Amino acid sequence: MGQGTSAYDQSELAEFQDLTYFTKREVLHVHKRFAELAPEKVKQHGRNPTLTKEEILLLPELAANPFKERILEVFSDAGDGNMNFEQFLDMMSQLSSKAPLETKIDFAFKIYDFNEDGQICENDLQKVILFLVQPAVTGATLTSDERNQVIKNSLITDDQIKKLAQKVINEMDMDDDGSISYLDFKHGMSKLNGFEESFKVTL
Amino acid sequence: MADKNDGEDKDTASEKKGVHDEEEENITVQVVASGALSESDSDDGESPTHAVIRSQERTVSGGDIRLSSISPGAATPSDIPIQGVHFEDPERDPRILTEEDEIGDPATLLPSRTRHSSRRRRETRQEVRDTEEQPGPSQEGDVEMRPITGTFSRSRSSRRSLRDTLRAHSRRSVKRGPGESLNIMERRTLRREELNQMEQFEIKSLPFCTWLGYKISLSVSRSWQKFTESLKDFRIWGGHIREVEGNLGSGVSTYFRVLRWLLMINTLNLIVALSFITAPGLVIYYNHPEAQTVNVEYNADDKNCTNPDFFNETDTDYAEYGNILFQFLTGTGWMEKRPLYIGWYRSLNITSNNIKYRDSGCNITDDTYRCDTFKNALIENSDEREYDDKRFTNFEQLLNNFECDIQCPSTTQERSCNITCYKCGNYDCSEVNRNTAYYNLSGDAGMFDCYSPLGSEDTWGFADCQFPLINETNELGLKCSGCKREGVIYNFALAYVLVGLSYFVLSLLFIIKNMMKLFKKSAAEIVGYNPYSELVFGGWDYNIANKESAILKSKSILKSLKEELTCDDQKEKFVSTKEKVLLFLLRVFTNVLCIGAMGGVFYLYYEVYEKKEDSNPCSKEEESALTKLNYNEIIQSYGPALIVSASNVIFPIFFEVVGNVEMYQFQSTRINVTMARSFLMKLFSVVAYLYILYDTINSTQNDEDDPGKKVGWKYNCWENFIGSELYRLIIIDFAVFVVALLTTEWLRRLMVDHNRFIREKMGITEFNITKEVLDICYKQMIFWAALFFSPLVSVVAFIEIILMFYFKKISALRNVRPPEKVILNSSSSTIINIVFIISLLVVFVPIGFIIFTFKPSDKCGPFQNYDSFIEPVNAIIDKSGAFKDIILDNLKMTSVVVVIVVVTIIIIYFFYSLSSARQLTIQLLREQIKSENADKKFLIEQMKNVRNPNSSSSVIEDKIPDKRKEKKKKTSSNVGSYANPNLKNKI
Repeated sequence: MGQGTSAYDQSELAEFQDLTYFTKREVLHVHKRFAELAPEKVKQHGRNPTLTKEEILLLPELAANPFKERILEVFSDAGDGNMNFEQFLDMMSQLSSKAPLETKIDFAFKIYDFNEDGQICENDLQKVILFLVQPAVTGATLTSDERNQVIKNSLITDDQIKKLAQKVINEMDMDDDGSISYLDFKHGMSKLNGFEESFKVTL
Repeated sequence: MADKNDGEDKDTASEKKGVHDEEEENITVQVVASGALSESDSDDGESPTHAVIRSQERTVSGGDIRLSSISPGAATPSDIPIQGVHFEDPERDPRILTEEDEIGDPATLLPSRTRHSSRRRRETRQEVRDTEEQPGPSQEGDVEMRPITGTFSRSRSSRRSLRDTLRAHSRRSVKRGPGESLNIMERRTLRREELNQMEQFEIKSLPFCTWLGYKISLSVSRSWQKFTESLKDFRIWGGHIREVEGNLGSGVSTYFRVLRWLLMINTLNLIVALSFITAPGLVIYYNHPEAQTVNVEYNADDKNCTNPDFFNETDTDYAEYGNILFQFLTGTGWMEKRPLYIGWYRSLNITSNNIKYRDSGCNITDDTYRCDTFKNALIENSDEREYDDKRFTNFEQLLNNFECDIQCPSTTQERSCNITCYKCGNYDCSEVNRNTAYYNLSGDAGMFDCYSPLGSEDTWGFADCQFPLINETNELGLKCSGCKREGVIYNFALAYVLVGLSYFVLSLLFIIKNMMKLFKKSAAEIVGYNPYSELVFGGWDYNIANKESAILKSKSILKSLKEELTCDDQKEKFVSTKEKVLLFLLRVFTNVLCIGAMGGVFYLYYEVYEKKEDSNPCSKEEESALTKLNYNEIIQSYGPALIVSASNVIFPIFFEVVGNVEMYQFQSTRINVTMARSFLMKLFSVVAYLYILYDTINSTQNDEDDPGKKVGWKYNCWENFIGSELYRLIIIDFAVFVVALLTTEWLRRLMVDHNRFIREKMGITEFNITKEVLDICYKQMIFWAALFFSPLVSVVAFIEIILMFYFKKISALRNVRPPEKVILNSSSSTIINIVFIISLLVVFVPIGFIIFTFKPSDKCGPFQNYDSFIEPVNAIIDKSGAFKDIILDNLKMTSVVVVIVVVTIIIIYFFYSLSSARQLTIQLLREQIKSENADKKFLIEQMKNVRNPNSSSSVIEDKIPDKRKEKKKKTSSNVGSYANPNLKNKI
């Protein structure tokens, strides 16, 4: 904790405590993990350097996640995935177990809404499914939409993906408009079994 | 006051729009600000917004003012800091005022206000930014998000509500409408301003006393918050569970969470047992030697195996270390002479059997005193009256340490005697009371307490002396009685039985509390299972921090998705009657097989027990003669426990095989059926084990003298016998657990590592959460069963759970892969809770039966003088008249417990039906949404028609109302008729 204590004083920590769902101790812990990602940058730029997407993705808790890039994109202010410590802290706070369900649902909606039109349409859903099954197919999380490769592996066909997307829409779409609106999503997720437990990243 | 405001308002209001009315004294100010947090404002901390607010505050100080600025996201900073201020008369809604007095949680506070003023705010806002988008579709979310500046300065728990609001703002809203989400920098600015304002408020507008009170309450709430937060930081095993979660997903971590939860239950039991049974038991044991020297013949037939120095410290067995270890593991021998079992404990007020209720002397009729009359000292010659050193030492067992000297002076004029009382230890006596008693010769008795203080070390009570007694032969006498107050002495038997019941009650409450928490969280969750969205949106476990697990997880999601698809296809597939019949027959057969197997195991238990009984009833003596480990005996004593434990390992595997054969359409059905069978098996094996123990100790047929009476137990201390058998079962079970862990997980891992064939064919063990959770449930059942007979099992349980946690964790991280299909995830822990409640109740039935109906053995334990374990409680109920009035005379503990159980069941049923009623409501609401949407669609269609010149407008006008009326009718008849009463209550 020695490193952390030097990084922020008590009043700043209290500030972070008010602004996020973390306690002071957890803030320091997050900072420690953040600093470990790019020690040189921290040395150069002080305690709040901006790390690139790639550097943040070194974090094992995120690295295994198929939606990792999407998470960072959604969360960074510029939308490019680069973020400084405060943004990082904010992100981790919302992914922490203490964040309320609504916050998580909002976050999840933004992640899954790939084309950012405020609706999860069939295309978005197909992408979600692809991202989900990619690690199984390729043995690694892929960064871009490599659909053909997945289908080549004949683990899942294009047809099946389309069918699955349609099924999900059938289940979640309450107002019958063919795509999942935010309200639909919120309603569906709040009664989803185990979403709250599984949608969290603990450093 | 409105007048006063006028002047100051005008200059500020002129630059703002939307000032509506300012009629009354109590004024609520709504400041709708946008971009109030732009950099230029925050730099000096004196934004125009807040300047205005403060000026308002000052002028209307003491009045009921409410300030709230709606700060939109600073992502779109605007040049106009304040867009609209409008005043409202809060008396229109009296709720506002009351809320303001006790502002606490902004979440509860905000909606009503926003509702109240939302219409106007929209108006004002639209005046300025017509083009700007309205906030997102979610009204509710919209309300929650809005930061309220200024309100915090008035509230007591302002810091807390500020924090809550700030945190709520961190939410990344779907549409970043105004005021909906702020990033961390923006929130910081907001916070600084708020704090600034709070300080200003504190300094300027509060009288000193209020300010002081505010400060104090602030510091108190702060330190309380600190405390609770430090508690949150301290959650045992949090790191370990996270590690497991990261590697194996949240499903597996459920198992460890359950273990942690069980540790809490057992810690509770441990604290209760140690503080109310073991600690007082030790105090009694070491303070009162007479408790130590009670000879008890134990655990053997009366005729053959009498062991007179059973509770003697110096036991020959100590010489043999092997024996010590062996006896530690079997829970026999020296272990039986330790506080592990019920038999060791003494109830002090029981040890003197000769206690009689006061016959004379003490004029205390209250039952709380038990008195022991001792000798009359006869002063033989009433003329002399010189009786030095008359000592009364005959307080019998109870008060044998209590002595009095009586000196009557030779001069008769005073007519008094000095009485000095002592409390005596083994070597010396200390004076406790000195008194002078006056008497007259006419026969009036002088009564006095010769010893009254009931200090901490003197629980012996007091003695009353009454003298003189002048009997017919004209003798002067002295009659003293020693009394002991029962209430002061720890009523050990009562404590023991209450603690014995409290294990169950505490555990039940603990589980129910946990369950209620879950019920609250997921009342609607039970409705409608959406397998696809569950997998797609809830399938990925964000906890996973390990590449291999990620691949496995992804594979399992893929597999489940495809499985669901094929299942959907199969649902439509027609199953022929012949197939159906075959399937039915197959399942009947497998069920019969399962029941048969269970019956077979029960028979096996029974046989082994019979053998054990027959083989050697007096093994104790032989053993001490041989002073050698008797392997035959090991097998005998462990046999039954071994069978129970082994069958609990083997049977779940057997059930899994059977489940695979049964060809269930859905995998989840198969898993559920297997789980139900395993659970029944565990319940059954515990109950069967207890029944066999009962059968062993029960020997009513031997009791020839009084066949009607249920006395003749085979064992002198059958409680110890049951305790030691259960203890042995616990030890064996743990050993089986370790062996199973080593073979099925470690050994398999080693084999997989070194053998390619096995690697490809089997792979490493899959972590079967259901099985493992049921396994710990079974272990907990044994703990519950054993606790009454051996209080220190709580310690054993405590240690065992900790060991299990670490063993399992180390093994899980190395040797195990996450399950493919997670049936029990952490949200469905409702099922886990129900499983635990059922097992608790099932264990309670036999144990409760023993407590309420059995006669305790009369040679050992705190209950040896009672007719049943519950008698101390009944005695208390009988004694206190108040209880008698309230509870009917015939209502004893038995019926009370029955009532409690019934009430619990009713409550659970009530909640269940409540949730099913909600399901109905949800169903109806859903239909309503659909039909309303159809309405909408229809209208849109009509709109298109209107734009289309071909269709005539008159037709449309006719159509719309009709159709809408129809729809309305439909929905109201659907929902209104039977759902509305429900809705009113709930929404």
